Amino acid sequence: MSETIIKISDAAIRFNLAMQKEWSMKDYVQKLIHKEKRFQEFFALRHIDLEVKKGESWGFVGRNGSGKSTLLKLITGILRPYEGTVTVKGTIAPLLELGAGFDNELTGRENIMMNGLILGMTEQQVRDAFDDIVEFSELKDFLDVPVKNYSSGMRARLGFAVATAAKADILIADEVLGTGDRKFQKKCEKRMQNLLSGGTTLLFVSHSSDAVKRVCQKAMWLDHGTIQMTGNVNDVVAAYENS
Amino acid sequence: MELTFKQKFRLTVTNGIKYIPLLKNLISRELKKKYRQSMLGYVWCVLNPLLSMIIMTIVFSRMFHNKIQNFPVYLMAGRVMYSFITDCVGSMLRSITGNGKLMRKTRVPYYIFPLASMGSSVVNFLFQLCAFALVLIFTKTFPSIHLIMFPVVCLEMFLFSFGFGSLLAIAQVYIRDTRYLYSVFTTLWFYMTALFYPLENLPNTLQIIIRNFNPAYYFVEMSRYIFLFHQWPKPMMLLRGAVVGIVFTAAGLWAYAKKKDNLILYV
Repeated sequence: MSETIIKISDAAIRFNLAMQKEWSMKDYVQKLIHKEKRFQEFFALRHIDLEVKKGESWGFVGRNGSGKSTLLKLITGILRPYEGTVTVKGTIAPLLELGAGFDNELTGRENIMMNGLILGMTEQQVRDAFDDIVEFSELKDFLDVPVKNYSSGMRARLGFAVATAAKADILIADEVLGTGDRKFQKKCEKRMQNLLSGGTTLLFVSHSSDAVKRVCQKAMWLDHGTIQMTGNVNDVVAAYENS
Repeated sequence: MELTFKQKFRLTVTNGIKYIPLLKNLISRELKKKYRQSMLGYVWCVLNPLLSMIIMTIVFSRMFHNKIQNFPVYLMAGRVMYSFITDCVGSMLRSITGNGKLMRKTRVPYYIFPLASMGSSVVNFLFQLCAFALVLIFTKTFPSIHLIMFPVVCLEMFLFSFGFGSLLAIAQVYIRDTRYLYSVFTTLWFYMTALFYPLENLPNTLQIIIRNFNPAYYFVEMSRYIFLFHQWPKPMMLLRGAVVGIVFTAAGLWAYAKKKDNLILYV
């Protein structure tokens, strides 16, 4: 039996809807004067239980706004649970948005270093992985061009290449195959498969049910922040598609 | 299982050490972005304070006939200090909200951004000191033994700026008006720091207020003692600088610890 790498028990995430809006002095003064709770509570996730074992690959399906990305942020450690507990053992390479760590003004080369460091790699690890990243992203001729001049496909390729080169214990991929062309999507899937056979744990969100079925063994179906179903990928995806 | 304060502290430190290379990278990013597209590049770091010093010298010694001896040094000794403080606090203020996207999508500890802003301000400060050194050479005002106190004064100033900048960076997350208030405040601060006129020109009460309650003035005055008057900074001033530095840094760290988990919901 392989060890449990992620364990979530009865976790909830709560937002104040007022938080979504930018605050200003005026609001603040109004709040002081009226002394009332002007915010609405909103549970983005509720009663979430999840146990992921090392080397497993999990797919998360559900409609827009069902809490998939919030769950990944919870696992990554960006958000803290309002209730319940989240335990993660090992390093995480989060790919919550392709090219999230990119700085538009810097060149591709500089961004590789920056993004690698953001993912928690050491400078030496980034240097060692550099050739592999360049080769995979097929951006050899554009390395010294600022990233602001990259197409969205190029950004996606570079972001994916760096995150997968990080060799973290857990790879989190949120809707990463959307931007690339078919050939690149295939290539990404193959790379994820390779990582999986190397013992990496994968958490995968995609609106393409086929991709989820190809990449993952297990799946969770979320709806309005609660779990609808957990289990084998084929069963869960089938149930989700029939709903 | 609740961690004790000591354990938490140790965890934060070990976690922080891991991100030192990232910090270095962020600092060089800020500097690169600032000067990359200009033809003269980093030369501007030195040229900028030099040119504005020349203009202010012309304006205040030719047009307003002030009686300050060695005006360029008087001005620069104060200006390097004051512009470090406002530059550092101003860029720290914007650092957390400005990197909101990175905070929402990656797992970097958020305190790294104010630290990076502070770091790049310190590098800028070193460039400004080069400009200051040129002014000292041109005016033949060579430094004396008292120079050895300058690093101490700078350290106090760094602590004060770090603390003040941290508090404003966090305030900016919750109240977005902070940066506008700060920019109005710096205008007042500029005139209240007696950068280009002798403090003695002001009414007595105002002098007392500035001497006692304007931390920026402590550092400006100590710098003048060292470079212009060739004297040791007054022990009372040094002590005040240290107290202000420590109090502000402590308050800043307290604010980070307090808002650690809540911050992400507002950035």
